[in-house]
Parts: sequence; structure tokens; C-alpha cells
Amino acid sequence: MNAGLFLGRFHPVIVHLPIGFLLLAVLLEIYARKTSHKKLDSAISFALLLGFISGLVAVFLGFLISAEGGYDGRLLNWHRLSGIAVSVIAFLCWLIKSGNISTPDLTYLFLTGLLVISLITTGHFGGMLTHGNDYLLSSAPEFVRHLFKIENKKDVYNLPSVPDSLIIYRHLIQPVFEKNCNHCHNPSQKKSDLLLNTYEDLMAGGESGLVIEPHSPFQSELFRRVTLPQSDSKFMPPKGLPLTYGEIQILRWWIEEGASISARLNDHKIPDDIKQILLSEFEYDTSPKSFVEIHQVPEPQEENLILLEKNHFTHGFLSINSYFLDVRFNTASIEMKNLEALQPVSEQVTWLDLRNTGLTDDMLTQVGNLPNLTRLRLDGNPVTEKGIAYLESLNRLEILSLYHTEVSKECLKSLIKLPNLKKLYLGKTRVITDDIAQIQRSKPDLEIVLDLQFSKSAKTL
Amino acid sequence: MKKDIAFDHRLKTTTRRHFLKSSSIGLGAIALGMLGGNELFGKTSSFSLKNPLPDFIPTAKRVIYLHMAGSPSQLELFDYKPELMRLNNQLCPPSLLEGKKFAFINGTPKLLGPLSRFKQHGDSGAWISDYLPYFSNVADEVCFLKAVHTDEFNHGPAQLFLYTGSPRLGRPSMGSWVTYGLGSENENLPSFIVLVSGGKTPSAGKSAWGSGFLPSVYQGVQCRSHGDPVLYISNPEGVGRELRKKSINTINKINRSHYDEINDPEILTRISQYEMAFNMQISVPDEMDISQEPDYIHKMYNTEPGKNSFANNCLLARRMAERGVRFIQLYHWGWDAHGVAKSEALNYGFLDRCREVDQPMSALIIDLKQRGLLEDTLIIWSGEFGRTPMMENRGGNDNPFLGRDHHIDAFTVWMAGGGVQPGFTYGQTDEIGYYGISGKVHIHDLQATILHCLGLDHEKLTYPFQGRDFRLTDVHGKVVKEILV
Repeated sequence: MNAGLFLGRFHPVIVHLPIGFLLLAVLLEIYARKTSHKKLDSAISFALLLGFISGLVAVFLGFLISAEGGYDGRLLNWHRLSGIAVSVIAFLCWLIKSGNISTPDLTYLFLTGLLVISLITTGHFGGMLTHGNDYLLSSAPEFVRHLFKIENKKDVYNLPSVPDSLIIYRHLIQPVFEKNCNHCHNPSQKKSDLLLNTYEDLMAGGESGLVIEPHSPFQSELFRRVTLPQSDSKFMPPKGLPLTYGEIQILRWWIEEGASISARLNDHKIPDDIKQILLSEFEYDTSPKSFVEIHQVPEPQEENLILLEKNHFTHGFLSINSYFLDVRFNTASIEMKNLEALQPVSEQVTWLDLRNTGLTDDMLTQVGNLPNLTRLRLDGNPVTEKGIAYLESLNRLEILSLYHTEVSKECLKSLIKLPNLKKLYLGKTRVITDDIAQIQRSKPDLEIVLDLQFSKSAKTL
Repeated sequence: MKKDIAFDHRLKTTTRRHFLKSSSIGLGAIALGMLGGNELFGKTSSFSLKNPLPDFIPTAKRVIYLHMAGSPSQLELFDYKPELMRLNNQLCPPSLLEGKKFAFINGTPKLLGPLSRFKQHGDSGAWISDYLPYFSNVADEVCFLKAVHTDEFNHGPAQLFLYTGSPRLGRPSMGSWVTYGLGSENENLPSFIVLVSGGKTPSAGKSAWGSGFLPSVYQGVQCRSHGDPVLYISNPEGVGRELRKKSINTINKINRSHYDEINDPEILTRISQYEMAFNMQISVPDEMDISQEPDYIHKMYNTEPGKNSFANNCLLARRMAERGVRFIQLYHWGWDAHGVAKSEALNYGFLDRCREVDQPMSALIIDLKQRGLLEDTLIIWSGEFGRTPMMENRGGNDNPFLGRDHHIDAFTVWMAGGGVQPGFTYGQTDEIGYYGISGKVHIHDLQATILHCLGLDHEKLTYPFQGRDFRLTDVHGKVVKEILV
């Protein structure tokens, strides 16, 4: 049993007593003055005394519960100060009201006003401590939020949208110091002679020497301090919230990579665990975006879409926010004039499915004219490398399926020129494993899928 | 805004979802949408224009859901627990039993070590047991969710919970929500097809693929691999295709005038289903005829045309995926390994089930991959819950065979293709596989993630019913972004 903590936890209950007593006193005071009820004075004085006493108890319990730790230090400090102020002012008011001292009425009025203000601020700080900083206004109307500059976590970090421009120190490390460390390690407080306001200050270290050892997080005093057990007297920060798991991991990674001021997110290979942390704690998606997710195209003309339908194409936009088109041919016999219907929407067509349509080599000239094509399916058509040569200009093409076509290894000469090709399906063609060795060497990121089967080791139970 | 024409166009493209919300006349427009492009009306394909658009760019266009009805033991297949092996046959500590409810376990059961042997497979090093020798070939194509949990410990409610988001009857199933949200890619086939093997339909019955309060046009259609693929799909003797066409035309004319009179949207569903059935008379027998497949494919899947088997259904699933069926749901019955009888013992009947599914489900992944279809097809494999690390002791006595009870707190689900990270394992359970300790995924999270892959925001895919907007994930669900590509 921990008696202090046990009693301390009654703090949230007891605090409501001074609030009630003192507000009642103020209300009675207003009522008495409005209606000239002099008789109420003794009641007001009684309420003030009760408020003062219960306030003292609340302050005492508050000290007990704050020993538990885990609160934002700065906020706790303000809450404590204003709480004590409430008791002190209540005591003064009682002294005046009960006639123990006499002052001009104006002083009494001023003190009552101050009492109300400190009651409200104490209560508000207390609420922020238990419910979080933005609890009160996080659901408030937009203009109120704007008025009070309510920020959410993302705003604190304020990350740029592309990984290229995300500077690890400035966007991920410094904000952590500002949030958790700077109230002690700043030019006015300078705890242990360590400043954490700028990169230079950080690297200059404190009274016990350097706090960051580039490339070795576990030799870095700062990293050691924030990862000690919380019960350790050297644990940082001593008051307030500890660093989160994600913040610590990103700090570790940054030190490992050399603790540079200018390193960008993309300068280093991002390890998978850091990617996960960026995603789950910072809602920052580092996965490469495909062309259609980054770019936009103008809306296609209605009559051009109708023209597509007349030529047996099914089509749909990729999503409600995109004018890129996903197009599929519907019958088993395609003709050149059908494909010509793609030209008016050549900018928009990005996924094209021409599977099993009887498409021939010469028709691919039309397909080669679709500059924004990212996925193309030509499976089950009698096309050869002659036709594939027409596709050389498809700079955006990411996925190409030639499953069950007539192409031979000659087609690889054209396909190697496609800068963005990521997946190539060549099963049931004349291309064999030996043919693709060379292209695999020059384009290691390109995944080529040939005929697949179970490996020899697969056996029945 | 400069996008006035665009906006206009969008309105047209989103009619189905939006009009459904506002009025029954709208509902008519939607059902009519299903008729677009039908040969009976002599229209060319305007079908896709009527399809609603996804909320964002999808990574999967269709789903193949492989459901192991009865729920296999994750501890014999994927969740390797050497510690549990060490504790084999020891009494379960009371701390694990306090306040827990089990379907059958009574008193203090013993812990049961894994019966299978585990090895790491592929570059990803995924743990897969020797109960699934074929599947270990495709370890690098699959994303394992190791700490999935659910709310229901009995088969029927748990299946309903998984597919409809509620353990009670009445809600639309996942496939219905998806086809409602995305429409069809093939006007000659139902966009939600169900195939059942293993001798029994799942415990939740046909409600697992029902449309609930969505228009019945979105319900799953069960196809059979034996006899008529869809009941009564053949014309009766003496009725030719011409006559059938004429009679359907006439019936629909009458139905339409009836609809004009009373505006009941279910009449439009009926009309469209007549049209669809007429098209299906040609398209379904062709789609369901796996004898057209070459020998090496039959060898790969271990299929035997004409039989009702999970293998045949896997091959059918691939044929349906090729033809643009949106949601393909397979059920294989018989995984409920309690150990009460030999047919459901972990070392007998359970092993038979493994043999039945191992090769075909692995073949399905490989086959879709070589055709480039794994790119935009999402495969999900799961039971409705998991199994306990404890040996079942029904009524407080040891069962005659080795078995495990139903377990809701942690089980393994795998996914492949369609935008999930291949060769990735997410989540972890404790040393004996009793609780998830990291990367926990609730059934509602799984549902949200599946919809996300299809480009649907699970919070926006709603349908107003009895005074409030319903969704598949009810008021829960968080997309598991960590497993997405």
C-alpha cells in the first residue's frame, strides 16, 4: 500500500468542493448586492471559509498525486501555482468578509474577481492534465479551433509531403526536443549546461561532454538517458511525458546514420521498422507512389467516352478523385478502328486490358500512342516482338502482361528501354529462363515472371 | 469550381450508390443500371458507366476468399510455438482460464504442443508446418496476420461476424457490400459467386452470403461443381433458346408495367435477374467447365473434372477471376478438430483437410501470379476463429483423440496479391499462442483492410436502413496500413 498515492487519488473528487463553495460564495455576493440583502454576509463568509479549507485539502492531495509522475511538467507547475493562489485568495476574501481585517470594498471586489479567474484557470489546467491538452476544444467548431490555434500531432511535426524534402533532424528530431526537453535545456535554464534549441547546441554537448556520438547511439549520453528505466534518477525527461517508442527508434536511426543536420529521409535506405513507425506514429507513408497517384489529367470529353463504348470498350475512372481511365475491350475480335477510339482519350487511358481480343502486331502502333499507360495486358493474343517494338515509347509503363503470346527473346530488346517497367509477365511464350538472365542483371528491380510450378521439394504428406 | 461538367459526369457515374440513399425511384435507376448493355435491349455496353467509382485508386479489383469452415488450428499450421511443445501435457495454469468462456473446455485442461513440425520457408523465412508441403513453396507470396482476434466463439455467429460485421442475422455480407460499392465487371455473370466443398454448407448457412437489407441483386449466387452449375439453369426439354428469350421478354414486359404501377424496386431486381439468368445459360456452363483446362493445370491443382472438391473450386475461382467476377467466396467444410472423433482429430481428419487444400490453394496463387492476375486479385484465407493451445477436455474428461477447442483471442489469417506486402508477417502471439502481443487485428480491421484494397473507404460505404446508416464495420475498424504495399 502506498498511503500517499492512495489519498492523492482522491484529489479529483475533492477539487470539486472548493469550486462549488467558492462559486456559491461569489453568486451569493452578487445576489446580496443586487437585492441589498445584508443578512447574507454570514453565509458568504461561511462559504468562503469552507472553500478555503477544502481548497487546502485539495492542494495537499494534489501534491500527493503529482508524486506519481507522468504529467507534463510545465502544465503541472501552472496548475499547482494557480491552485495555491485559489486557496490564498479565498483565505484573504474570508478575512475581509468575516470582518477580521478591513479594506476598501474595491479591493474585496478585485479579489473576488481574481478568485473566479484563478478557479477557472486551475480547473482548466487540471482538465488538460488528465484529459490531454486539446481535450476541450478538439471537437469545437472550426472557428473556435482556429481562434485558439488548436494543433494536432501532425501539425506539431508538420511533415512535408514528399520524402525528398523531409530533413530528418529538422522535421523529426528537433520537434521531439522542443516538445519534451526544451523547458529545461534552454538558454534561460541551461540544465547541466546542455542546450537543445539548435543543432549546434546539441552537438556541443553539456557539462559531462558530448551527448551525441554519431553512428553509435548506444555510446550517446542523450540516447542512454532517454532509454533508462523510468525509475532511474538519471532518466530524461525527469518530469513530464517520456519519449514514445517511435521517437526513440527514430532518434536511434538518425544517430546510427551519422546524426547529420541536413540528411533527408531518402538519403539513407529506410529500414522497415522505421517505415512502420513513420506510418503508424506519424501517419507518414514512405512507400513509393505510382504515377497515377501523383499526377492528374484533365477530364475527358463525354462524347469521347461514348465513342469508346460504341467501340466495345468498357471504361471507368480509377477513383472518384481521378480522371485516369481503366479501359477493357469486351469482345473476342478487335479491329484497328476500335483502337482508334482510344486516341481522343490517349492522355487519360492508364490501365488497358486487351486480353484475348485477337490483337495483332500492327494494332500495337495505336497502343504505343498512349503516353500515360501504366498497366497493359496483352495476354492470349498472337502478338510478337515486331509489335512489342511499337511500345518502346511507353515511358510510364509499370506492368506489362504478355502471358500466352507469341513473343520471343527479341522482345526484351524493346522492353529494356522502358524506364519504369516493374513487372513483366512472360509465361507461355517463347522466352525461357536463360533469355532473361541478361536483362535481370541490367534491371535488377524488374520482376520477370515466367511459367511457374511447384519446386521439386514439394511432396505430398 | 471549373469542374462543373466533371461534377455532372460524376453524378452519373455514382448514381447507384447515391440514388439508393435517396429514393426508391433511384433504386429503380440502379437496378436498371444492371440491365445496361444487355443484348435483349439491343444496347451496347454502357455498363461500366453505371458502376459506382471507388473512393480511391484500388490495389485489387476482385477478391477470392478461401474460408476454412470450422476453423483450422493455427498452432499446427503457421503459428510456431516451441514453448508450447515444452509445456505439452502440463496442466493449464488457472491464470489463463480465469473469467474465460470456452465452447467445450471444462475444468483444467492440459496444454497441447504442436503436432506438426515447423520450418522456415522462402526468403521471408515464414514459419510453415510440414502439414502444408505445397504451401511452403509460396511463402514469399503471402502476407501472414498472426494476431487476428474475433468476438464470437461459436461457428455460426463467428462466420456471420466475419462476413456481415454482426453475429446476428440480417446484415449484408462482405461480397454484397463490395458489389454494391463497385458494381460488376461482367454483365453475363453474377458479380458475387459462392462455391462450397467438403460435404456441408458452413454453419452460418446462406446468410453468410446474403444481401441483408441491400437490394437482393447483390446477394451471392451459389454455383455447384456437380450437375447443373446453377440449379435449373438448363432449359426444360422442348424449350429452345429462342422460345426462352421470347418468354423472358414477355414476362419482363408484364413485370415492367407492374413496376410502373407500384414502383416496387424488387420488381426491377426480378427483371434484371431474369436477364442475367438468360445470359448465364450460356456463360455459366462455359465458365464452370474445367475440362477445357490443359493437363498441366489439372496436375498443378490436383483437379478431377466432375467432382465436388476444393481443388475444382480453386480452379473455378481462377476462371471466374479471369472473367471479372468481383467477389469469389469458397467454403471448405470439416476443420472443426475437437478430437471427439477420428474424422476430426488433429492427427487424422485434420490432416486429410490439409491434404485437400494444400496443393490447390498454393496452385491458385502460383497460377494467378503467372497470369499476372495476382496483381489485382486479393486472396484471403481464414477460418472464423482459431484454436486453443489447450487440448480439449469435453465435460472435464480427455477427448478420445487429440483436438483443440474454439479460440477467439488469436489466430492466423493470410492474404496474398492485390496490394498486400508479399513475404511479410504482421503481428505476434505470446509464447503459447494464446493472446496477440503485437500487431493485433480485429475482424472489423480485417474487413476495413479488405475494402481498402478494393478502393473503398469502410466508413463511407454505407446504406440507410431503419433510420441509420449501416456499414460492414459498424462503428469499428481500422485499416491495417502496415501490411499494404
